[in-house]
Amino acid sequence: MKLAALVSGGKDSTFAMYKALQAGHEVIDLITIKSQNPNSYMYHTPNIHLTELFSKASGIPLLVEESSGEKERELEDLERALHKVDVGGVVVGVIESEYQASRVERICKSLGLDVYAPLWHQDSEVLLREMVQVLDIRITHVAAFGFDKSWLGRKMDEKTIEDLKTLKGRYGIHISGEGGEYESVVLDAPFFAKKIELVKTKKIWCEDYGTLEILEAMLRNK
Amino acid sequence: MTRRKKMVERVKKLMNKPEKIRDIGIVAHIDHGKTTLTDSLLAGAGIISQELAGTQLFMDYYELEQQRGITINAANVSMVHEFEGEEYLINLIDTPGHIDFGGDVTRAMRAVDGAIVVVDAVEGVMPQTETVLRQALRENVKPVLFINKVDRLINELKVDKKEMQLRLSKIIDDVNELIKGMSKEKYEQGWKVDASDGSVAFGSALYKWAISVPSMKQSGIGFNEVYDYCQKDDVKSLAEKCPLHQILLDMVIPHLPNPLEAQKDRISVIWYGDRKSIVGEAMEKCDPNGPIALMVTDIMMDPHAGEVATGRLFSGVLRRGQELRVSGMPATSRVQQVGIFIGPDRLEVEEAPAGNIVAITGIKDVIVGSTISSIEMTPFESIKYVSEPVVTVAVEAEHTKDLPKLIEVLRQLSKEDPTLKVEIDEETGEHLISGMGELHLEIVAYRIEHDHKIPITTSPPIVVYRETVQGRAGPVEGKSPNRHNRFYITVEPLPKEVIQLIKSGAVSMRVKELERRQLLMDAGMDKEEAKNLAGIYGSNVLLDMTKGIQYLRETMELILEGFEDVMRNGPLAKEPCQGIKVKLVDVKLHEDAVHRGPAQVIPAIRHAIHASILMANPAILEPILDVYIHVPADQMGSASREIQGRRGQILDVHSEGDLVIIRGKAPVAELFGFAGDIRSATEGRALWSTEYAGFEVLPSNLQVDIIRQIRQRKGLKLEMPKPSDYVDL
Ligand SMILES: Nc1nc2c(ncn2[C@@H]2O[C@H](COP(=O)(O)OP(=O)(O)O)[C@@H](O)[C@H]2O)c(=O)[nH]1
Repeated sequence: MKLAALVSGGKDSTFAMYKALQAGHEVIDLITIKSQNPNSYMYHTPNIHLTELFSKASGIPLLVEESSGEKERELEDLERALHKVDVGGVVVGVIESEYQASRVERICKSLGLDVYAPLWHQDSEVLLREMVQVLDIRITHVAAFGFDKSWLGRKMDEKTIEDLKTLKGRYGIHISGEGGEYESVVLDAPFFAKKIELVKTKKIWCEDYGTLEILEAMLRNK
Repeated sequence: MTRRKKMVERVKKLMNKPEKIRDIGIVAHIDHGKTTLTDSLLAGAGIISQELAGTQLFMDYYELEQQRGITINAANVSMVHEFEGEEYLINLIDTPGHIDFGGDVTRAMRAVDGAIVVVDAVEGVMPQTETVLRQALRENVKPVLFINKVDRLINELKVDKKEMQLRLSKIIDDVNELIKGMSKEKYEQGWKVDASDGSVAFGSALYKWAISVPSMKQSGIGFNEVYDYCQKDDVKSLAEKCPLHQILLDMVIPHLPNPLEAQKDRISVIWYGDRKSIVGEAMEKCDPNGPIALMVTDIMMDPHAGEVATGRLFSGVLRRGQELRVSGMPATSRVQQVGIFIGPDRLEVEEAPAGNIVAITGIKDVIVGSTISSIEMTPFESIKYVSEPVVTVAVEAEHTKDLPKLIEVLRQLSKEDPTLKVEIDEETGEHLISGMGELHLEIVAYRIEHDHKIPITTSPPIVVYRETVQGRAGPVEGKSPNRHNRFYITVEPLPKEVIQLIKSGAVSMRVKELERRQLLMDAGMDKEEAKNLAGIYGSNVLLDMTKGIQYLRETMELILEGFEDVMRNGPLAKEPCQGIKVKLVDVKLHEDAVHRGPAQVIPAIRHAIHASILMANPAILEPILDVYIHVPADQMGSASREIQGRRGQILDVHSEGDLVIIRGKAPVAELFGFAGDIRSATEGRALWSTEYAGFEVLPSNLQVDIIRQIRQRKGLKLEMPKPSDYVDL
């Protein structure tokens, strides 16, 4: 089936897309919703501009839909975007957020589109272990008690997963960051022709959350 | 049959007749003779040999206590006494006389129905006479009076007969004055002590004689005769003609209530549950057929039997194998042994009925103050301690290999002594023990080294401070790290009356809601606020003033966790908070549960409360002790200077005979080393004691220094914290 992928450039949407490709689907469009609201409930916000490089790296065209970021209006923005593509379904990286899942489901249903959510209700830890095998993931934002500045820019690997599990035990975070605990960018994936390289970044830290701002990034041959 | 066997038979028979039981304590100002009296009573009752009593201090378990002459732990001993042709079982719970162990005194009071108040004939009524009497009356424990050391009046002070009579009646009057002042109602109901009705006795615990009006009639020995015997130095005849234990126990039996009479009146004072419930009615009746209801007053480690819980059984019959529950614990456990006391020894018995002081083993997770019961019941109110820990030391095992043992011993000590708090400093890994004073902790350290044979090093004592607010602030917005949840908080000082209610234990989350609300309103709290009490921590409250916020119920637990965390570690210097009213006035929550987990909600609440406190004119409070000094008049100046030189204040000076009594107060921080200093300042002639007097605001010129000092000690940033460290302003 021809699918559009709802991507943020982060690990879950990228991995969902990878799963879709592996299952023999064809991803012909990338959709990114660019929210004006830095605290949006629905969409990833930090470093969303990286999705352009993501599109170039994977060779799949990108559709950027601007969104006001008002709570329920955010959905209309998605609906508008989906009207612009010609696909049979949408692939999303949602794992546990009922809020996201139920809303995407509703819109797709009204448009007669299938929702392909390969990560839905999978075990987070198993997923993370699979992801770090195939993706080059960097942490770009943390926002939960227990994290500190050293997490910004960190590459996800087995050790990172162990540390996340420790924080889960201690402070009850979700290890995939479904509660907004952290955000990531993917710099390389099996379906990338080129990989992304971060040229210039800046760490911004406030009391208990922080962001790795990506000021400059470029594509490189693999 | 041996004497001991006979005794066992008699005790076993008596324990089944509550009208023949007296559960009593002895209370006194330090050095007035409580220990000596206890030993002489035991000796007289044939439990230890007459000769040994007086040299072998029976109830003092530890060397150190003997060196210092202070009794520390409440334990129970029993005696059998014959009165008017009938035998009685007397359970005597030892209550410590030193203020450093105030918690133990209160605890023991709850297990007894009556008390012998001992007053030194020479010194008369002293500050702690008043304290212990107050504690007794508060727990509805009836007093009788023993005026001790009458021999000293005659032989040392060499007063004449008339003067002796005058001094003795002055003491009786003073004691009655206190009783009247504390409870006019009880005073009028017959709790007045009266020589003519036999509720006062006079004598010498050391030389083992005593007289009372009833005994004078029997033996013909009155004040005149006593005076003459003493002058002739013939105390031996006196002890034979009017033996101390006889006269005192003859006083106890008719004047102090048996468990049947006592429980009828006392349950409503020491228990907050529904008096009409099954347990309530059974306890008021001291009913052996009722459910088990046992209040634990002491825990001791026995090398063979393990953890032994001693306490007062208010209802039911204890038997081996019973499945019992411990208040606040989910699981039940099985009674392994049931014991009662023969003299100072525990004797295993098949069963023990209501009204007795019993010892049981096999019960898990019990601590001093626990309620043990066979059916679900309201626990005994949390034991009201008059004091809270004010001094901390860090203890460290000298050899790392002893660390596990040290941890175990600390755990055990804190079980045995609930005024002792043991904590682990998460950052440094140090073990911190907090207690009622420098001396209290010295004794604990001594016990670790000598009884448990673990060499340790201790840090110098550190004062425990408190943080509070003197103004209001807010609403302050606290955002969760993911920015999806917001909490709006205000803080303000909690009125004194409400703090008092909480500290006394009258208001807690365990008290029924309607009752609690009423108490808070009576103390002046707004009705809306009283209704919305969501949590209490220390003497701080959290009020949930929001209305109809979705998902709040399921988030409340996390909010409380954040609140408690700040109340434990205030923003100024991570010291506990006191007297703060925290109000949650609005909340915005993410509708997706995964976005409002503990790592989001707890920090958001913490930030909001931290910032609010910092904006509400925060202050450090320091613990204060009342200091009582009795000195000869010519030493008054040096003694007063010892208080004044310690940021102290003299509150009252009055003379009594040739003694001057100084009442003053001083901060705990300045009182370290006081014992040695006052001794040298007054050539050792001052008699002094201290009492916990609560926390007061540290003088403003010291605030910054002390905060910095604590922060440094705890390895915190040295700059003063600012609200903007926590929230966006
Ligand atoms: N002369 C005299 N000394 C007594 C009498 N009773 C106790 N003492 C002494 O007073 C001191 C304190 O007594 P103690 O029983 O340890 O007091 P406690 O602190 O109340 O337990 C000891 O040195 C006793 O020997 C008494 O009746 N006459």
